[in-house]
Amino acid sequence: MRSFLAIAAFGLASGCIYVDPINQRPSLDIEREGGGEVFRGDEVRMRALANDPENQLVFFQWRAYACSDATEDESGARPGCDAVPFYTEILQDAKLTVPSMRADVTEPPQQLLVLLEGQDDFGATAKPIQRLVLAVSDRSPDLALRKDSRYGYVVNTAVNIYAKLGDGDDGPLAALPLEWKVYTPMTQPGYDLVDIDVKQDPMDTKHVQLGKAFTPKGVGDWEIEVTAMDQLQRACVAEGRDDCTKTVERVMITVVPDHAPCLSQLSPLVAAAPNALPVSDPTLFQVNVVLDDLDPFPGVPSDAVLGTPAFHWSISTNDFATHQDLTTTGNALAFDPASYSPGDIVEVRVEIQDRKNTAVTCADNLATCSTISDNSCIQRQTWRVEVR
Amino acid sequence: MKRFALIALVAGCAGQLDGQSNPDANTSSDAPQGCYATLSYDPPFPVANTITPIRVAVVLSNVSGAGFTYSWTLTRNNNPVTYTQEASDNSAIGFFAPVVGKYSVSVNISGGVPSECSFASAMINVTDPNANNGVVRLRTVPSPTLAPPQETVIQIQGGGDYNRDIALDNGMALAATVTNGVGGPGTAAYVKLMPVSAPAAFTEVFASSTGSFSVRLLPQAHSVLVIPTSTSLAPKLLTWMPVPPVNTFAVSSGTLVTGNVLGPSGTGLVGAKVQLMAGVVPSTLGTTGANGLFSVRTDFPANTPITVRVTPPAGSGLPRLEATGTLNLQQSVQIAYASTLQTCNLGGNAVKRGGVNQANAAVTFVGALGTAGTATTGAMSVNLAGSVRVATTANGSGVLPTVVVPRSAALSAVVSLSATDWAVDTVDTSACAAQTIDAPAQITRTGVTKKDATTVLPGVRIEATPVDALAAADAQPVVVTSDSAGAFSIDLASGGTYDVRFIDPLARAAPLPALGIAPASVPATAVLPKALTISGKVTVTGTSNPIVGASIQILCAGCSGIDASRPIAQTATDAQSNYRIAVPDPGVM
Repeated sequence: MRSFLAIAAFGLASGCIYVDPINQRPSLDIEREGGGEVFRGDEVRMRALANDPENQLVFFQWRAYACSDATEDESGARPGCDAVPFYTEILQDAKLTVPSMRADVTEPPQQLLVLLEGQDDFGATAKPIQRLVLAVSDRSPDLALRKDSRYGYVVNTAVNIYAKLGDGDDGPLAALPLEWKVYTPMTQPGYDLVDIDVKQDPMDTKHVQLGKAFTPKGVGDWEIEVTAMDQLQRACVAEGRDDCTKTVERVMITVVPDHAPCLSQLSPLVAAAPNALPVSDPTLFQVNVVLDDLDPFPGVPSDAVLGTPAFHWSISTNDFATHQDLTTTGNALAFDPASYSPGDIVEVRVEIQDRKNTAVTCADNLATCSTISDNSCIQRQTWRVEVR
Repeated sequence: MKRFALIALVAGCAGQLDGQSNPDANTSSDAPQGCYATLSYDPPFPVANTITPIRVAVVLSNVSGAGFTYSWTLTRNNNPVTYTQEASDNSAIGFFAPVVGKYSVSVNISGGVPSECSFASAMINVTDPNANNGVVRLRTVPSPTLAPPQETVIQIQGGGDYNRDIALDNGMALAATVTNGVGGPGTAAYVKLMPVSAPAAFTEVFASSTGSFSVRLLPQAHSVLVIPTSTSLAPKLLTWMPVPPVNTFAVSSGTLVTGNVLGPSGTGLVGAKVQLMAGVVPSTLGTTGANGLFSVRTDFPANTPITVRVTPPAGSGLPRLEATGTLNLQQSVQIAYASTLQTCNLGGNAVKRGGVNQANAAVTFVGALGTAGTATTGAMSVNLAGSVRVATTANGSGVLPTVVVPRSAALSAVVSLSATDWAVDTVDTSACAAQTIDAPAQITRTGVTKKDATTVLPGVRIEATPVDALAAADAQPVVVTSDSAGAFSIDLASGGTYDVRFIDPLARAAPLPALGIAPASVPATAVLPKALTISGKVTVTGTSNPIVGASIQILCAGCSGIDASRPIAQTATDAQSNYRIAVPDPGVM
């Protein structure tokens, strides 16, 4: 008070009054760069916008808190936020990474509370403190399914279903376990679904790979549905809310019956009437390749599911109405023309059956036969041989 | 103020660092097209040891720039193998391979390299330094529309599995015509095209009634055997070369060769079949008429030994005759059975087992007689060997009907009481005395299959293929499979001889052959030898499509006749063109 009176007296005495200007508070605002949804693990950039009436340098203080709910209570406290900020900064630009978990509770943050304070050179602080509440979204797990069958999706054989699982903000393990559902064809046949070991990709640590062996017991269209949920999504479901999200992928599998075996490659050359293969030396008639989903030839070693077809050989000499069965059961028949008279016409016939043992019932005088009425897949072939 | 300066400095540094760490965005698009990455390794034929490392380096071609990042994967049997960085930029690695086998190495290249050359892989075969080598033929037969059959002789190095990719030549399409004479009309024929370098990998086809056919052939010299359907045209062996293009194969009526066949009494033999051959080229088939006269048409290559084959008429009791020698086919061919040859009617003799007549027993008399005739052209003469195959069936009382065979002390009677019940009995017809055809019960051999001295091997297929007399009587192979304890039991013909092969369908062990053995010699303990696995990918030039269902066979390199076409092991390519085949391991020294 004394100084004020002295100043006033001095002013009155000189005719002028000099008064120090009052230092006004700076005003603040928060400008977020970019915008868009914020996810855990994301980098958020913000800039403090300051306006000081005296154009003084403004010093900033940023604080960011991870919250479940940043709402103030009646006392002005924010019980849904961590007590200690996870991020502080004194520069004009703030660059923070959204934490994956709150510090005070083991929960993923769902909001960020950003506080910005400013003070000018003369100590005037901006009022009110700038507050920015950012909603932290939850990234859904990413899930990709792949199917693979060594057996052509044949009924009663295993189909491997592979799931590649990731989660951009929680990590893939947070989305385990997966939920597997099997939708059967209309006839509702049974099935097996068991875990299989799947090697992880060392080059991709952001995903885990899991697998199931699915063995359908009936033909038709099957659908495998796999659901992945992270912690927040599971919590949402547990609360019975109707706004919950989840990642759902499906894979369709058309299960087919065991296909008939097909004679694919034979030697020597197959001759049909009127041609006849001239044979003057002992010759091995061979089935080199049978194509089949479950019983191919040559067989596949070390596969407990796959088998080999049965071979039935028969022969007819000069009378092609009937063929005499031979006891040879292998894929080859040794034919010695010396057992015949030169000029004889001999029919060497092979028929194949897979595990279904479907009889080859075509008339004996037909050189070829397809039990499925498909000439590109025959189960009988006949060599017409002329003994020389 | 000081605070601001510090801020500016930090910001500047950060910007510079960012700039350094960002790859040049134009690097990829500036790279030349057609870049590729390959792996080279040294030594080129590595052997297992702990002293000399194997060095693998990336070779990038048609790529500019540097500073790429290399990420390596090295495994054996899907298990990681330790390696060391051998180049400052990690573009090369080194590793020790103390164990024989296939080492899979791959590298991912990043940091601005075009995607088409961002990956390279190789399969390195590490062999045993003391490996034995086995020589076999590798035959690959893809779909005939893709490539012709191809065969090569390969060495199998013992001691461990290895990788062998098979690259097939897609060959060239040949559309050709068989004609009756040069410039003449087309004619139907059987055509066999044999690569000169690998005749067994032949291609067969029938020319249509217009003489036309089309095949794919390797672009190399082929011998082409043409056997016309018409008996008025002679089979012929021609040569085909890819350059200049030849698409006509002319055959002709050839040379008419005449002669006669005389029986032991010196009279003409009616109804005998005569065929001449020169190497692989047959004549037409001749049948003797009145006075034993015959004629055949030939178009034989010059200076080739001639094979004479004579099949007597059924019921004559005479043997078949065959021999190869030098004959002058410009002259009449005189074929004469030896005058000393006599026959014997075995009708009335009984077929017995255990003293009991066997009704409806099928009996085939077989045997070799030595010289049983001659073929003569002028001053040239060839002795013809005789062989016997005479089949008959006993009546309901087990007694043979009239059946005439040559007199010989070296015949066998092969008796079949059912399709799976056989016996072999020696028969001496030299005195044509009455005798019983004895058919002893089959011999049952039991045993166990093993993969080594102590480990049983269940599920082994035991194939007993008849040889000698049984084979001549068309007895079929006997096949059994060992049970879950490796035990097997097989019934074989008494007096018979077999080629017995123990084969593991699951390829846990290599086939064990026991050739030309009597039933009693079937091993009671069959230890199948160790197998090694050859695997790889089959490709065909000119196509990137998968080669599915191509037949791959490992065949004996030193065999002849039918055994040359009997696979030691076989497999087929899968939907990804891959194959895997187990073969006998030649072992190590």
